[in-house]
Amino acid sequence: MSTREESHDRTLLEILRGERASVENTPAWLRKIDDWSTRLGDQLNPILIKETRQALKSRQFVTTFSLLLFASLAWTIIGSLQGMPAIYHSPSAPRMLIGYYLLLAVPMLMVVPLAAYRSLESEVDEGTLDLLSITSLSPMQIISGKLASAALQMMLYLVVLFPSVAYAYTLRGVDLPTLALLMVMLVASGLMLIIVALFFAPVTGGRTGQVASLLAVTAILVTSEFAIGPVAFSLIRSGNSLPLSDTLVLLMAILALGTSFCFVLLMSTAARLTPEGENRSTGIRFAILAHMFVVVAVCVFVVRWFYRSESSEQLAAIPIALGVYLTAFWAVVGALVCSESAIMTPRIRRELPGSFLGRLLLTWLTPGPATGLVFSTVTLIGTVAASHLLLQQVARATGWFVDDLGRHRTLCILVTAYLTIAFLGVRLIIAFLRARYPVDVRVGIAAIAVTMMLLTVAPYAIQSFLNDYRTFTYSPWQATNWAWTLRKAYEDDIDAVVIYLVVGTAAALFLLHLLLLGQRVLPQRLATPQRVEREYRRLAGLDLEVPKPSDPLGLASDDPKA
Amino acid sequence: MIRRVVPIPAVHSDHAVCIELRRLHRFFGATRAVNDVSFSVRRGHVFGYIGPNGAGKTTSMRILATLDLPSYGEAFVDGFSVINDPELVRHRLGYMPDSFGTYHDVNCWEYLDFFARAYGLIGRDRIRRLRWVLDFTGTRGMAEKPIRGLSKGMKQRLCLGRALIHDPAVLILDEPAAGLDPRARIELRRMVGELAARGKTILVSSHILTELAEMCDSVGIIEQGRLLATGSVEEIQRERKQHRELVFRVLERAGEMAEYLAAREHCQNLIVDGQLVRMEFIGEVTDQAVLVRELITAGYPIAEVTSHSKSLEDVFLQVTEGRVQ
Repeated sequence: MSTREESHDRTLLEILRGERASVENTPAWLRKIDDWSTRLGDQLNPILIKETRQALKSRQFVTTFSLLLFASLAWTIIGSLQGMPAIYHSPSAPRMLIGYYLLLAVPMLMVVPLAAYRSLESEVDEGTLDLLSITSLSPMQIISGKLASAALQMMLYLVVLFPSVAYAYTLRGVDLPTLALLMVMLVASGLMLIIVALFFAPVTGGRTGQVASLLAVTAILVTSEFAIGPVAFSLIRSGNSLPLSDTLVLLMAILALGTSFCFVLLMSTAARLTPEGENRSTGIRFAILAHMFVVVAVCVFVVRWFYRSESSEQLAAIPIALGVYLTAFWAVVGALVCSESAIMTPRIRRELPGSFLGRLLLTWLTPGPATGLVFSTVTLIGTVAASHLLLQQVARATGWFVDDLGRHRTLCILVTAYLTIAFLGVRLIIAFLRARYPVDVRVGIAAIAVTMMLLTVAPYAIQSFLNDYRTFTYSPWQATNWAWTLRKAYEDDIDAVVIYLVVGTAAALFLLHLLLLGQRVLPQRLATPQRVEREYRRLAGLDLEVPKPSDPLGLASDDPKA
Repeated sequence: MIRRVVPIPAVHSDHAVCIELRRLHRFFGATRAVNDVSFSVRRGHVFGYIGPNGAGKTTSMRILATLDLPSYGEAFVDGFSVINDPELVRHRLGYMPDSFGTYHDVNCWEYLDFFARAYGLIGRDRIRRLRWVLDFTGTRGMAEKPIRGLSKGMKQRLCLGRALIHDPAVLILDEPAAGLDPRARIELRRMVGELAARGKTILVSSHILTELAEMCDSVGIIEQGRLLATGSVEEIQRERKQHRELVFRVLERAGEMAEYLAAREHCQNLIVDGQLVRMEFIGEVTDQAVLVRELITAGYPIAEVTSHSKSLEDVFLQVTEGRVQ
């Protein structure tokens, strides 16, 4: 053993001796607390610990915290003095609470989400994300750690203002449920905005992209601030007019919708941080399915809950809004899913479903543009059909919208068919580009825009040319022109031929795609090598025979070069 | 925020070959960053990866570190594929990139503690490991200091500590000596040597070739994505028919001796400079001994013989052509 090695071993012995001596001198109850704290700390997400340590020492947090503290104190004094002497006999809580809300909304809806965005963006920018990627932390743990740390900061800001809010409550004029609702609304909005900010952080690379995404995040945060503010003010001033049960249902519905959407965003953010060779798609597809299920279920439940009489006709707005949302959602999501890389590493293929039933049901959740197209089309058809059935139920119950059901059905069918054709267009464009250049999934958004534009402009331009640029009326030649066709369908002035043509084309193309790509759509599962399986079992703590003892000092190792 | 990281015991390699690249290719559009690179590194060896900027060193190191995927070919760490089993590779691998990758508003202890937690080290084992790393890298005195205030050399030590925190079997160090002062370089060399002596397999890239020549068991020279030569410096010299420079100080008849030498095999580029005869010798050391004996037998009054082989820098310059992609 070399002198240097001996010195290191001595040092370790000194460390151990020193540790033992310090442990022996510590009282037993303190040792217990210390052990308990260590065990608790070991169970926490390392990102949460690191981010919290960083955040609490950062100038931004100290400044915001101090400013919030002083501002709340200042408003308490100024607001109270301004309200004198009425403050003694008339309810003054709303005025004070609006001030506190304004103070609290800035850090909770602006500062914390922006800090979370900066935190993840700097991980990408400064290369520390690479270092994190090769640790035992999964991308989802990285994201959830950032989210938890931001939530903790939010809680600290909330705690700062808690005495002031309690003081405002004593001034009368706002009841406790309203106050609780306000706080839930603020915290939930803050959390959702943090997730949105985190979603944007790794979306773009390069200086220009970073500036663009920062601007987008800032715009979203400012818009949200202005959108949530009036709702909060109205809640503070007028209170909650709905019965408690209705309030709870509405709150749960909004939270369920928000949570499921945020889950999709979180899975997408985690996918952006996942290395290329791994399965980035299945998690997102599960999240999308869950979101779709929640959206439809919540809409059905809300319609059923709030339906009281035939006069509840405004409920028809829910399925209509659902249809519009589904169209917009699937135009973006479908384009992204159909632009995925077709390369499947053996690692991904090892995780493919093996049984017949599994292959039948779960193949559409495996990565790749071909499965993506089937997944998007089938889910789109299912959810659009659900939204139409829901509207049908509302119409039957209330008698409202009955005459327009046929028109709605036509629109639903046409939108689904056009989106299916657009997905096929995206698939073709991306396959063409990918054969020549490295293509990111984000190009899918541009591809669907190009496809939709071509479907509209091409027939219009050709017919204009053939018609010597004179005005002309709608004809089945404009069947691919979705903008004009949908408008005609909305006006209930469309030939059945056009509908059959569009739907028939979409169905034929979809089936042709399935037939042509059958082999690729159904990739074969690969067996995992025994050594790898054994190693994974060892990592999971199931196989205790394989591991070699840790030997950080190299005391047991022989010189390998000898 | 409860995590599900399973604490993982450190793994010491049971494979004779710890790093292996098989026909590795990485294309970025038309650029072939790595073009058909194959080599292997045995357990406990230090492999120096040499090449000009943009040669493909960092790209191949990133592939080995599971941060990038090859366009074609395979890479293995301790027998596990970096493409198919990246998790298994990551537990065995410590990676130190050419950038520091540090955080603001944290001190050295917190930084190492964070990575120890991220690698699943828990409880007192983590504390002991942290202390050992701080001691090994000589940063113990800096434990409470913020990273922001550290010198480049200390940051480099800290980053090496981070790469070592989970006791990996394989270390990949990308330009660890860049920008370090001579003392820090010597310290780094010592640490690398010590780690290799403890059975760690190390792949290290550097521009400072003298450093690499002293710390590496073998080297690979890469240019424009292609591996031009691999093996120990001596092996590459032999493969490349590297010349050994011989200088004779002859008291008289220097010109005559030069003519005598010119007629011999292994000798070329003779220059007579007064009493000195300089030449390039192609051959083994035994051939050199035979030549000296023959010269003395032939009666030339040789007062002094000087021989020196070409350095790694000379080898590098001969092998590469200075092309950049």
